[in-house]
Amino acid sequence: MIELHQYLLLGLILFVIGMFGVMTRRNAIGILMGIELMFNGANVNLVAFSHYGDPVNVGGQVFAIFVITVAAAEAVVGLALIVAVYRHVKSVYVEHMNVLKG
Amino acid sequence: MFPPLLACLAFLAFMAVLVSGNQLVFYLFAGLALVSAIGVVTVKNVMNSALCLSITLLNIAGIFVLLHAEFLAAVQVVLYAGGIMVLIVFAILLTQRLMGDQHPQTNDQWGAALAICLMLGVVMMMVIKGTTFVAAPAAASVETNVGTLGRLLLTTYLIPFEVASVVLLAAMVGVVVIAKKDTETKSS
Repeated sequence: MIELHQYLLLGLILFVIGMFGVMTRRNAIGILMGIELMFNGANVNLVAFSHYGDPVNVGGQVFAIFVITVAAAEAVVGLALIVAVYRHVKSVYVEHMNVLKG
Repeated sequence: MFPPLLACLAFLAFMAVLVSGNQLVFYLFAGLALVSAIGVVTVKNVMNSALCLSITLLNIAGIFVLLHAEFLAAVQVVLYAGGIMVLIVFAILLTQRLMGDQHPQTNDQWGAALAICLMLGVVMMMVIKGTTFVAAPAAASVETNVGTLGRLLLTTYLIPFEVASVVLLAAMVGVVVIAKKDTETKSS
């Protein structure tokens, strides 16, 4: 029998690893991948609470579906921004994207 | 045979003797997800990092199946591992000039970032260990998981459902506007 706090620890460690990726990666796409890891940590948390707290009305799973939807929209817009910035700056490393005027 | 494969199978047999079936599957999926998550944030090549992220997402789909959220596991595989990862790989291919760029991919603040992440992790672990969660009585539902989600999305959560479709439309329009090439217009 798997306890609830094991799932919560898994979600927490995924979130913390994603946060480390966001703070340290130089590649902008690497930062986006860290953000996706944070989303997945939150999803594991939501679905675990839905399973152990309210198995009949699965509100946590509905919340997780909306998180996946908004994460998809955000990833798409973020990648379009990175591609557009790459056309000007010719680099994906965030230390080169430090001038506001193009 | 292949020595690392033998080592993995021996470790698996050792774990199968120690823990029961459900726990073994949980530790397998969770361990693989965490190992490849660490791979996402540490490998040098960004394409290898994207492949590690695919492995993480598939293992999280396995975790969802363990939590009796089968529809969410299928959505995770189709949308995340199949849609968003393809997008990320396309963006990497569009923005990569040198294949096999071996410059360091982590910046200079990795020490402070590691300290902050460890502190947050330890504090939250203490909070989780110190909380007693009230478990709801496990009720056997007569509906399938897909049926429950479909009913909830169209009755209780109807407004977020419609708002989500507007969000997706706005994202599509925004992406087309942002990512198209600038056409120079000569003023007469």
